[in-house]
Amino acid sequence: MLLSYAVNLFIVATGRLTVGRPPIVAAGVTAYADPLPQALVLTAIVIGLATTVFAIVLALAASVPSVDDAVDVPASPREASPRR
Amino acid sequence: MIAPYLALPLVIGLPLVAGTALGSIAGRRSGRAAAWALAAVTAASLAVVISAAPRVFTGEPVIVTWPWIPGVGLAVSLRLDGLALFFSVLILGIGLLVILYARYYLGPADPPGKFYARLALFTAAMLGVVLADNLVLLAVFWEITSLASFLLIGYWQNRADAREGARMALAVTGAGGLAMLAGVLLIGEAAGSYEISAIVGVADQVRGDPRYPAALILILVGAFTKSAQFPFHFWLPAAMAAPTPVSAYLHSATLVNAGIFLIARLYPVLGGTPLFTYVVTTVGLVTFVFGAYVAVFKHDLKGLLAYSTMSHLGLITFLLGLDSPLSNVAAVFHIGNHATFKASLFMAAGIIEHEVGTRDMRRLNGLWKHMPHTGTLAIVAASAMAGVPLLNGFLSKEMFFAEALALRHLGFLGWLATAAVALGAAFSVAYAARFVHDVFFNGEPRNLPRAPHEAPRFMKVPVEVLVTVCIAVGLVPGLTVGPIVDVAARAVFGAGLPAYSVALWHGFTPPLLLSALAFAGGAILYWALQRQYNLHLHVPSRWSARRLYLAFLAGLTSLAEIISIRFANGALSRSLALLFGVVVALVGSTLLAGGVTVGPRPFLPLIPLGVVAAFSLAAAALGVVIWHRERLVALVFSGVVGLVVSIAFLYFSAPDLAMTQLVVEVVTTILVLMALARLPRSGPEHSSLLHHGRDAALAGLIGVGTGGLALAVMTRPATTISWYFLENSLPRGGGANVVNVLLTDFRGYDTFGEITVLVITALGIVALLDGVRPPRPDPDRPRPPLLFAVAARWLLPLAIVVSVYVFLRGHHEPGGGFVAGLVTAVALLLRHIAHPVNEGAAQRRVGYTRTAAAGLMIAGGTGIAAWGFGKPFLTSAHAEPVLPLIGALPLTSATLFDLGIYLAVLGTTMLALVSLADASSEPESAE
Repeated sequence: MLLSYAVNLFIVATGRLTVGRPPIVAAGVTAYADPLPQALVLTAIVIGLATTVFAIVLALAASVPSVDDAVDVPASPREASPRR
Repeated sequence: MIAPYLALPLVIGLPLVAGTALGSIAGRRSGRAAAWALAAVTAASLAVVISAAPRVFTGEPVIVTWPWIPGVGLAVSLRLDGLALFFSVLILGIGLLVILYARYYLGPADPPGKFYARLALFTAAMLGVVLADNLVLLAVFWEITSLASFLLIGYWQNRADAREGARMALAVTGAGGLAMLAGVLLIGEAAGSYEISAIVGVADQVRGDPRYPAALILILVGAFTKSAQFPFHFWLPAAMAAPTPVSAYLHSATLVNAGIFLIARLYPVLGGTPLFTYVVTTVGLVTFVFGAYVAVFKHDLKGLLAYSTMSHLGLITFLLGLDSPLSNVAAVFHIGNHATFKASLFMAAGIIEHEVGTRDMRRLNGLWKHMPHTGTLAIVAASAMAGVPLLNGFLSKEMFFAEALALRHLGFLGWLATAAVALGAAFSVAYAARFVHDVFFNGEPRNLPRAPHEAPRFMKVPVEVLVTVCIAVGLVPGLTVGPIVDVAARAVFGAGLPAYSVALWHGFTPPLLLSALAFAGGAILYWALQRQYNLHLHVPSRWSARRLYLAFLAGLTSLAEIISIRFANGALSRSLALLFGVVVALVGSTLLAGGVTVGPRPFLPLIPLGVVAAFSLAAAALGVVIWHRERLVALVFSGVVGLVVSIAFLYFSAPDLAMTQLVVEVVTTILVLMALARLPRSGPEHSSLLHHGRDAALAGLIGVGTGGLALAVMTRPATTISWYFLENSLPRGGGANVVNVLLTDFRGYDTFGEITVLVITALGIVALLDGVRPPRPDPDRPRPPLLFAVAARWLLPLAIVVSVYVFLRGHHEPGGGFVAGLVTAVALLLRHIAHPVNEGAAQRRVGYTRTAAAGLMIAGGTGIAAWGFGKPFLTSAHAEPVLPLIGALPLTSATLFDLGIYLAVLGTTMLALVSLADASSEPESAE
């Protein structure tokens, strides 16, 4: 989640920061903030929500047979839990 | 008379389309029908080729070109010259005989449609190889032949040896095909075109190009893998697990000749240099001797024939490598002769296997008494293979010996070559003698699965035809194959082929002497092996190229396993650490090398609120990291980070983003809280101090790097394409909120994909929580406070109004479908928590899933409706009808699209929230 906040901020920042000029077309205004990164980030926020939701439900479903909600699956049967 | 531009594509197209289709369709009825269908198609193709033949004999090739992908130089160029004509007749003629043979060979358990369809595919691809005038097109057909060969070898897919043979053949010929493609690309670069007709014209330029040696070696690798030359020969014996019609067709007459065809086809371009001569003649000679030697000791009938094929192909390769003009004539002649007698020998071997049940020559003895007719045919064919006079094999072998003997004047290497030829010839006679003697004579048969008897009448007809051809060509070569061999050889060598005669008797010449010597030597060798060495007890040595290949593959697999266990051992943090580490290494090194500096754009003034916000963001992020094991605490800090980000969006002129971020933050927090009701509240310590250090270092580097990158980007000016959207948002999109118009109109297709993702997430949640049973409830669980319940009841209609308001104003003011959907979802959830309804959880889930799906369909329908007006998908329209009391009402079709978004977001979010709420509350009474 933190990573997606950071990435969203970064993308919006590539549109070059402007203060007080939202991209709403109004008479007499010449300069606007860049709407394209904002549109991209809006999509990103919503899909980030979908991913978070899915991950939470996955954790919940995985926790049902056991109390530990770790998602690390050992690759070889010899290790009980893989080394980080 | 078919026009040439139609004829050549028809030759390939008939088996490719009609053959495969008819073969598989008719195969469902019976094997007979499928055989007839494919035979008709093949005969038609052959008729077309023959009808185009007269023009070829006048010396003028038929060339047809259609553009395909001009950008990579690929065109469908087909060319029928002497060489192509020779090979086409060979492929189609023997194909017809193989179809007839297969009709009797295939048993009742073998699905015919599959067989004949694959055979048709192979025929078409092989014809494509020989008819192609564009090198890239040739490479395409080459790969299709490899694929068809794989399918045909693996026809009996329940047999392990067939599967292994098919895999090995595909791996080796596929790798060779890749090398060939690389060589083709190099030649194309050197010559400036991929059309063979054009390349031949600039042959000297290609030969002088510095890339020539590499191109030559690569193409030769491709040719040698296909034609099973040493050291790429080991797939051919393994391919003998295929049904015998396949062996007779592919692995004696056509597929293995593809490599030789390639060398012959490119001889005008690649040939004539010392590198070519040395490599090709050496490989050919080694294969000739090696194959003949091993063939003598093989106990399996088809194995002997396989190594014999390899040996004869080596012979032809050797002839092509020699730089003398007559060697090309000899090579072409022998291609035809070899195909004829080898195919008939394979068919005879198949008959023996079919009727007797085994291919082991230690058990098959003395079959002459039981199958005299087959025996006669097999003996004649084997004699042609050995080079007995009055048969076609004798003629081409004579020419071969003549060429080999001419070498002895060329110093020590020449003498060596001649001696090797003599040795190989003796071995050839020996294995031919073995084939005849050990199968049809040499005592009584031992432990045969079935009583030996003759084959059905029509199963022997193809063998009879081929043997007749052997005899006819052997007796009167000038009348039968003289013209076609001539025109084919001229295509290889170009103009300037001196006069020659393919006659039966040239007098007592050195080649004749060599023939006699080879016969004597071979016969003595075989007799000695049988009597002195007791051939039947021979056990093959453990070392073979096949074992090396399998060992190589096993080593490769274990290496991959070792690497995988180290890097992808299942621990997420290790995979992430590796990923981030690589990012830091690559991007960091690039940035440091390039020198990252601050750009010219001026900084915005710093306000106190900004400083506070930045510090709280940093502190909260650190808080998440430090307290990540205490889940609730981490959640709170994460929420703080989200809020600060939302304020940042608001400050930097992104109101839509700020609203969306805020609501998403609320929804996420609620979700995690509900999940924490089931999940443990605090997690155990997983990582050691060392790992913490590693992770901290990586994180620090990434943070510093990204920050520096962001600084560099933001302080540099940029030109964007946003002016287009800003200018056209109102007049053409009908909305003043450019971001919303972008999402629902300009970039509507991206948003359509996004709500598809949402619906998929919803379905995934339904699937994941399908069997999850909620836990036993705690009887002391507090119910929601009364105040909360009453407030929720009044809040819901208010929230709905707000949501509708936000939705409708979205096009001209900040708002839109996303935010509205999320607001409604939160309100509905409040009501659900305040007044929990335990029954009907499943129906609720279905209801919300349907809502999400309905949203997707409305959005899609809005897009499709544009097709009704003849516009592309998702074109929007807007109008401003004037209503009596309201006045001008701006309407856009994008609002409908936004409605789709609203429903999809609502459905998905509610589904997630409700599923989690149910999973963490009391169980359903009915379950």
